[in-house]
Amino acid sequence: MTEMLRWSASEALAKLANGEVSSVELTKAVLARVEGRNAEINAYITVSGERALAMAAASDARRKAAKLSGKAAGALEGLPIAVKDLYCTAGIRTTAGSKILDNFVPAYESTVSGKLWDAGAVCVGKLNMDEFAMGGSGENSAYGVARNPWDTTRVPGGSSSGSSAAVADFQCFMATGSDTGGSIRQPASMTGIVGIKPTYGRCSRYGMVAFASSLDQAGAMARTVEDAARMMQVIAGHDPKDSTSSPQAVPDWLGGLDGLNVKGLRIGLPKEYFIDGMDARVRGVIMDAVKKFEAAGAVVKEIRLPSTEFALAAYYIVAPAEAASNLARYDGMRYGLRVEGKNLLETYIKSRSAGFGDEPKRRIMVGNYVLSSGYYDAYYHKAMQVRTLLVREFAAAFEQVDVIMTPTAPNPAFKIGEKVSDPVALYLEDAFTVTVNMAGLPGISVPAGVVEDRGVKLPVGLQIIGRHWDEAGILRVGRAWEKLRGEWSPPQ
Amino acid sequence: MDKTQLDKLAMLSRLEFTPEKLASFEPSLRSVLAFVEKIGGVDTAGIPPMAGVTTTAGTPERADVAVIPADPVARRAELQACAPKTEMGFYVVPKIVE
Repeated sequence: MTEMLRWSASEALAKLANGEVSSVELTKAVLARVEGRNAEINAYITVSGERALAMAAASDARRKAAKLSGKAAGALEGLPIAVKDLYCTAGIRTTAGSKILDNFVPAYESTVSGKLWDAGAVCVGKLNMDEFAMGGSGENSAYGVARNPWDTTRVPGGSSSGSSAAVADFQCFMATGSDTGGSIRQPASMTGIVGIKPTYGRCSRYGMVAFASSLDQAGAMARTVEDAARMMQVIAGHDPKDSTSSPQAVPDWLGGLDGLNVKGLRIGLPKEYFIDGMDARVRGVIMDAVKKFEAAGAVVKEIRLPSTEFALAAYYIVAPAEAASNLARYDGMRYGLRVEGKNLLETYIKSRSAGFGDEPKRRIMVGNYVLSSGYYDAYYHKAMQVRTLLVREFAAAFEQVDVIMTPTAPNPAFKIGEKVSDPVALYLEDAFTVTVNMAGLPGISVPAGVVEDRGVKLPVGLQIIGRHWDEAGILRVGRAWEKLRGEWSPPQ
Repeated sequence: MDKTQLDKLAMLSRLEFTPEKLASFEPSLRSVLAFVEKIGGVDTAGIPPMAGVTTTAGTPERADVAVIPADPVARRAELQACAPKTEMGFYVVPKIVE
């Protein structure tokens, strides 16, 4: 692997700016890495090599012109990145990891990806994922499982499985993910990278293939907190095309990144996230991190979030209910797979049955069950009430503390196939992340340390949860943790 | 859940399963439903439901005005390029009136 691939995105951007490297050189190096590694890691569903080189050449030309005219280059000018395959990209196939969208080439661009290209980023390709973002391991992708660079017999987490694998394997400098119940933070934890899910409403969902609309949120995955902040700075902000995106101004997250004085920082440790039966090694790594904060002057308090126990069940009612409604659009009429039947209804049924994999089918069935007459009150209505309880409990906790720290996931990366036959076992991997989506809060996972499992070193992520709209706070605490922790890199 | 209920649910979901597939699918569906049933144990008396977290008031909406593309015919062709079947600018769908 060439040295330039090891650069952080921030380093690469600095070297692009001072002319030490061109975007074409950087993009060629990334494409060579992808070509050499994708057969094994399977992070990319689609590699857009030609387009990437054209974008890189255009970026180099823009940079030259900007220099001549004294203008500033774009925030990500010339940087090769990749996007999860649920962001619609005009002219590039967008599958959402599903065979039902195997031939879908969008005629429009998602707001988030459009902002990245407008900032000068170069699109290397589209990243693997669990089908419709439903899964926590990448094994539900119709395009094969992506593999964890730390140990290729293990999953890279999910649903942003290709994003985590590609960033950790140096196959791009950063990537977008999406997070409905932990799909950015959990794979970031399992591959030793940084993943941030901002407050619900911080980014536009326009052009993102929908899973559960009240929970879905775009976010960044990168190898450092600074790089993640750099991407967030570009993709955040109100979009008239998404009425759930917030009109409030996006603060300067990058500028204030190093401004935290850990002394006096109030950290909450929720008792309910350090449960019996969780991996003792994971608990150990997280508690070591907390002790380092304490030694640096932070004040650690035990807090209570009593409804956590019911959050996962509530999430697995709300998310499938919304998914069942969102996925009703796949009927084989205007786009996507069509399998002809004798009449309209049979065509719907045959198209959907042939196009969806098992997990979307399971969630559609569960969603329709909990929404159906006679069951609505016991399931969906009750889950919405639990959501209120979760929001209230977090609000009360944030009156006592500045941030909440938990493990991102209860276990390190597991073996491919280990949990595939038991959906509930896989759902339990989301136990520490879904609450954040249910309450609409921002959360970040930052590599905390490693544990050894069956002779292999595996990363463990520290989850930092903040108040609504306080991405600045969790980014600063994440950056402070990087300094306390010291050097970190995925295996090279 | 009996076979009749399962069939009804599959029809509501616009999905079909072979008997063999259903036999392998049903236990996992059952275990998911058993898992979410746990929610019955929480006391929610008097708690208002929340369908979504509205963290900011008054998110503006776009003006309700149709946006006409510069070249509507060309744009239609772009949008229909992904359609399974089109004819003369129309989507071709199975007949619904006999």
